[in-house]
Amino acid sequence: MENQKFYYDNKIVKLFVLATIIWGVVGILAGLLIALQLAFPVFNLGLEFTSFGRVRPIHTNAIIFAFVGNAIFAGVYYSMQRLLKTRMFSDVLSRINFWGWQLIIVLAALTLVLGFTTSKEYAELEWPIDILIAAIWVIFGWNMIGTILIRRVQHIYAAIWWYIATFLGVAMLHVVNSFELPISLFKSYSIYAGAQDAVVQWWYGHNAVAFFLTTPFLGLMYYYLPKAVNRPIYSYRLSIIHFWSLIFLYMWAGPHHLLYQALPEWAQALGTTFSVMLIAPSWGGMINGFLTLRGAWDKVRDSAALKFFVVALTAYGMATFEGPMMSLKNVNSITHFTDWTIAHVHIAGMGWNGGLVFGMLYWLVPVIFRTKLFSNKLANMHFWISTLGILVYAIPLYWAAVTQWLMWREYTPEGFLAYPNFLETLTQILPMYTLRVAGGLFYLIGFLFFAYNMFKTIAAGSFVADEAAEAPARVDHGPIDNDKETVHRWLERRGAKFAIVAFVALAIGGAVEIIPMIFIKSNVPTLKTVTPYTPLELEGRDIYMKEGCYTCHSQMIRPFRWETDRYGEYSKIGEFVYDHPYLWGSRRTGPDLARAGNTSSPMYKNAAWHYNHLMDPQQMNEQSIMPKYDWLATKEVDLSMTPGKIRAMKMLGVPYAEGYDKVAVDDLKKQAGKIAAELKTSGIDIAPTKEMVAMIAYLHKLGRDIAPADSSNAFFVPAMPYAISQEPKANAHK
Amino acid sequence: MLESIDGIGNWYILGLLIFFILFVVITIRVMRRPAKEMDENGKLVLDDDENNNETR
Repeated sequence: MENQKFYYDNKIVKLFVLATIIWGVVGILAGLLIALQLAFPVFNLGLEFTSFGRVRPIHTNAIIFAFVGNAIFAGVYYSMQRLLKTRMFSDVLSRINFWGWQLIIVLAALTLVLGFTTSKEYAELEWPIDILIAAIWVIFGWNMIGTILIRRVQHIYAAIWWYIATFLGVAMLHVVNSFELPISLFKSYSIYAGAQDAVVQWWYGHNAVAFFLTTPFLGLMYYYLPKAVNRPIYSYRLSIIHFWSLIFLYMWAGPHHLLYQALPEWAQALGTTFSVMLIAPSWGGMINGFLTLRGAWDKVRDSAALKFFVVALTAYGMATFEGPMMSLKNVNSITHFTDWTIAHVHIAGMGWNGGLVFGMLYWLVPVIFRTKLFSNKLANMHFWISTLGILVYAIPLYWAAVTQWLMWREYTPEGFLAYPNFLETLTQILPMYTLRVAGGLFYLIGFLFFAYNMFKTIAAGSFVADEAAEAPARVDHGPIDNDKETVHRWLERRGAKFAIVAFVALAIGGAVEIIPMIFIKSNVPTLKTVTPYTPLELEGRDIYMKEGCYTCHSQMIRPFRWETDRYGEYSKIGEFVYDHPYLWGSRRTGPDLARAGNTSSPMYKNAAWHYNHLMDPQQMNEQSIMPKYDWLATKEVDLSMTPGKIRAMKMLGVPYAEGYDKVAVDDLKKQAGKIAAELKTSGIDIAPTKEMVAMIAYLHKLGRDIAPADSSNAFFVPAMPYAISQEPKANAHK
Repeated sequence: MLESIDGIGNWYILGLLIFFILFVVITIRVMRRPAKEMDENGKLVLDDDENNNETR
């Protein structure tokens, strides 16, 4: 058959490659800054815009969506055209994908710095940006599916299955997790509450790891590793089996992020079971990658690209064994809320994702710029210093995790906590935090070597934006031929049907996890003593989210003696029914705050203590690493937003009385006046409408509702009674 | 709205069953395909105009 001539679009690949390098530097710098802040709090710089709680989401978003995201697009746009023997479906869609994605990144950075956040990890961006993400993602999918439909080859190679799963998986996760009720351009509330929100969030969070950090990278591995080593993937059979197993199993595993927490036992068991099963397909991919290098290990010595692929596969194997182990409840009791999780994600992020991006670009950039790599020596230096960086980063954190966990649960012979002051357990691990900074610095230096090498290679090369190619037109083989092909072989030449089957495989796990949590009433037993937040507490909660307090403080006491002795009674699912969103946290850099407002809890502190602590934590505890929040004493609560927030909460099922929004500001002022007067007795003069007062009100709400009836909790009685008896919140989630 | 989570365990036992049945079927079907066909599929990735860059 006669060949058709066409041109590959290399320009879009070049744009994404450049964006990957630039955003990589930004993301790592943000990471280095927050690592410095944890070791030396002076690096918070005394500014709200540069405090840990604001910068931490910038680091995670910049690495995941800016660095890794652009690398995915670069790799997909290059490999897809070659594998399908066609130009991308639409240059316009490609350009919208690129510029739209960069706009999202810039908007994300700006809004997060300013404190506009939903507080849901890796999904912190507010609703207008969520909509933009959905739109750009659809553009990407449209372009991808269009390219599959106009391809010149019969069979769709394995790498593209992973790209299809990535598109479908991320679309599903992002849409379901982003259901929120906007109250202004920069503020919304999750439609889910408490445990339901937690399940949806960690279904999303876990599967963002799966479908943004794993499946696209497996696709890239299936293309770039064989290209770099010049031999086919070890087992095509294994690629089929591990593809379907992995995409099916991943979606079920989210609840392993919530073990021992206020979640039904069945959901926890579900998460653990499927997490352990995930080892098999994950290692299937790793083994397929390593065995592709069989007989070619001598090439690894000379090729920086292959060295990075080996690091990536090793890190993938480590992380995908460690993850299921962390899903076992006994192991999870150690790893959760400690630095183990941070070490785990950085082994995966720096090793698997970083390694694969570096390996891919060391191969790809010389190819599209038709030259040799500027410096192999520099690439090897990058390899060694970044590998060293990963180890220097992770090992101290594993050490810190075990140290802190042992200290948390240590008892004296008399039966008291050996280290009742949380700060004692933190100061013990601060040297590890300093070592972590060194690890991050090594990784950054390596990245700068890489960036310099890339730009010098690009400068020395000759770029062809439209690369000529030719291939015969595709002849449609029609319906399945049962004598000659399996169903899968048929599916491989049916792009749309392949996508539908993949969607079903993806959807089953999520549906089983989420639907019962939301629609079965007895999953969320209501506690009659738990009342909605007062307007002032609600404002304080929003400030807590805005400042990113949840990045360091959990609000979830697990049912262990060493947690209940330290913090107070363990958390119950019914306590969180008015929490839109939930704020359980995932790491305790500071102590748990779930009982901060319960006077019978060891965690209770009076208003003056909170004021002084927020103004200058180091003055209260010299070794504290908490940033100062002195701007809370000068910034005013935006009272114009309060009625709208009450209306939004009521719409979400919180049982405020009809018309309460009209008196909410009056109530807010009354409660704020009480707190300001209390502070005055301690010699602290502050206007009642300052953010500090709202924050104190919120902290004093935490855990207060389950306090004994005769406790001396003096809290606020609203002007209009809550409609709790008529409308239990659990019913409001119909 | 369902009133109880009684029997909820059946949901994930059903999920496990679906997985194991599909896993066994896919594995058997895939393993029975001729090795030649699988090798050809695996080589698709090398079937393009790009020069291998392994020595760069």
